[in-house]
Amino acid sequence: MSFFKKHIAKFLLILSIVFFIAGIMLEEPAMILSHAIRICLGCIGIG
Amino acid sequence: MVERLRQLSQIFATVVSNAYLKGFTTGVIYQGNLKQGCNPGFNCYSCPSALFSCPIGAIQFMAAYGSYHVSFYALGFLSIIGTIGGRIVCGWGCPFGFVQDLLYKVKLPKRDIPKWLENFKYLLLVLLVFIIPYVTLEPWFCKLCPTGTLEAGIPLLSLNPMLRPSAWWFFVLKMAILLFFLVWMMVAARPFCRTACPLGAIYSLFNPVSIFRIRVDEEKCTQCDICSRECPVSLNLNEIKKNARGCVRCLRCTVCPHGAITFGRG
Repeated sequence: MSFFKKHIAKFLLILSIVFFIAGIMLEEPAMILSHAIRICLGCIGIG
Repeated sequence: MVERLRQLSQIFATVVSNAYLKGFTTGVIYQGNLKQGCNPGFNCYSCPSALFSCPIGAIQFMAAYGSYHVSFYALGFLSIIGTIGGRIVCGWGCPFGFVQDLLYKVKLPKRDIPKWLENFKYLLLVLLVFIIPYVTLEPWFCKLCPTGTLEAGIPLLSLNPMLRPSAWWFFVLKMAILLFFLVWMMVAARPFCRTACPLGAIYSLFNPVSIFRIRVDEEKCTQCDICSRECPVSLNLNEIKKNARGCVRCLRCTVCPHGAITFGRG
């Protein structure tokens, strides 16, 4: 694997972790939970 | 050996993703805190037994209603997995991928999928997961998703008579999409993953740069093409070497009798 690819993977991993932590700090898991505990009418084909 | 391990991993992922079996007796979906977490594989969160949220559903919801219209949490979670293993979840941990592998065992004449169709999933990702939910405030991929019909629509409408009168033309459309894919799954390998899965589309972007990847030892390779013939998604040796986006990382190519193909850290 080239030097560039080796380092882009590390860079992407750090960026992904930053995104993930930012999402937690923005309280996204609670928002997702509030949505996911209700039946998605679109998923079951009536909404 | 690899294939046996992979099947066990798929069974494990399917069981863990759908461990709330009580939902199938009550018709009520799981509402606990585990749903704050995203499932790394494709599994509808409205399935009565689903323990985790569908990341694609979460991304659509945040595109429509999030403060910044981007789900940092779900995209970060998927990117962490993608950066580490590319599409490894597609091959080893996706419940819907497991369904496709099982249906492909049905003894029917097999057909390949044209390569150009594999780009369709990126169009679906951009339009139905990001742009259209943002504009219309509706999760349009969920509305058409065959996984939702199979895992949520059919069981929930069976278990809740009160919901049935509302199900008409849209449910019929969803059933038609599901049936189309179910038949296609019997004659082609992984058609949904290859042409329509937005989760696979996201993971696939990481295949060429992931930390763990397929490595081909040029000195051991005799160009016998066994790897290519084993590959369920019809990749040639060159594409396998390049860790192409189409690879679902089933690792069947590692059966190479010369030991030229391995999966490991880059």
